[in-house]
Amino acid sequence: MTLLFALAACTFGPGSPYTRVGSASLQASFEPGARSLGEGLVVTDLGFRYSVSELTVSAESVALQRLEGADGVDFDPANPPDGYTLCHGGHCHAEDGSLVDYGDIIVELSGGAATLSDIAVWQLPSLDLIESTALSLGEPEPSLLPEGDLSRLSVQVSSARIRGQFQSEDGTANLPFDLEIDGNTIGADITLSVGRGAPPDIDLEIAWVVDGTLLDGIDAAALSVSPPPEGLSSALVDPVSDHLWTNPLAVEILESP
Amino acid sequence: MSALLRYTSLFTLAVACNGGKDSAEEEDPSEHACEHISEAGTSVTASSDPASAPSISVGEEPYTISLVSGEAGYISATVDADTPALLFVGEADVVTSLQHDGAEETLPAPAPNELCPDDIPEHFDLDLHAGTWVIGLGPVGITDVWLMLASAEGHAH
Repeated sequence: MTLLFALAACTFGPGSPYTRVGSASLQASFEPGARSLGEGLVVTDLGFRYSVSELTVSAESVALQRLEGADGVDFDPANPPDGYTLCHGGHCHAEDGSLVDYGDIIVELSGGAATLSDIAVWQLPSLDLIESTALSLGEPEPSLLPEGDLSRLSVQVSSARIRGQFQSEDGTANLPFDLEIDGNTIGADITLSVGRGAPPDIDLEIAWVVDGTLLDGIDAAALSVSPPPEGLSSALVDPVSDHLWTNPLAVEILESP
Repeated sequence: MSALLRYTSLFTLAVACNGGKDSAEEEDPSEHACEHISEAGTSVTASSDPASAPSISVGEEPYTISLVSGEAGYISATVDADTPALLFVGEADVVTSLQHDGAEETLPAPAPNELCPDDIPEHFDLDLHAGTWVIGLGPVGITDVWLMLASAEGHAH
């Protein structure tokens, strides 16, 4: 009995790691969904057809993060802060129409005082979204999570490459593009409390789906008639980048059996 | 945890938090939409011209909209007074434009219905001012789409 209490004391001592991350999986894919016309063709909101032959991202890392320095931040989703109209489901609607996660808003409201610190990190290889890469990431470093609340999972991407072409309806005219897009951080708010009563072992399932809106808003006919002086691909980088990085990351935290 | 279990848990929580109030008055429209996703509801054929868009109502009824092949189709809703509304859609990336009395409006960013994200991958928070609103659907590669335009009354944030 004494030994049992001693073991329990070691397990639940202050500052001890209470939760082990056993494994994580990452599924990254390009899924045009309702925009798919079949045979690899996708339609934009303006009615132009395109296909994508390559969509790869050079990923660097995935990190479970803790929000620190946010104690004085007054953020109540029921009363959206200035610049936001509505908050629900972990994000607020900004006045420019974008969705912003609660974590990013708290960092913004803190005026720089709040930061997201990496607590556990996985290193990542490149991801091929056309081949629908499914990766088993194994354990992070470290795999034992210290006590406290984790509020965010972030994927750091160093660059992306998208190759494809606009295609006329009869298939006779093509407008190829080859885009090198600067990296970004894709994140999702999570709720994971590590401490007494927390599950001892968890697994993570992470998914990033790029949808068929990638080339929305681009007038391929106008670009065909009046090619931009900087070249088609250069002209497409910014709008495609905007669409690419707004695809949300989905995270499931599962208690290990 | 499966999506069904998540939905069931949230639904149970929502019921538990209802405190015995009249469910017809208090039901969250997100919950209502999830409950009716399997119903085809009223069939409406979208028009290819915004000016002749068939009308749907802000309410609790689901619709199945037949889309225009190869191009954008349109439906409309007319409201007499300012009406916060939620547009639930059974497929992502189908809603492509919004007009109010003929003027283009910015389409707000969509988000999944948190209670049944697999069934309703998108909903739009719409602040409908009095007048006629035209909703653009497509062009897409599917032939029809389920949707519900519900009043935001009772929507839990």
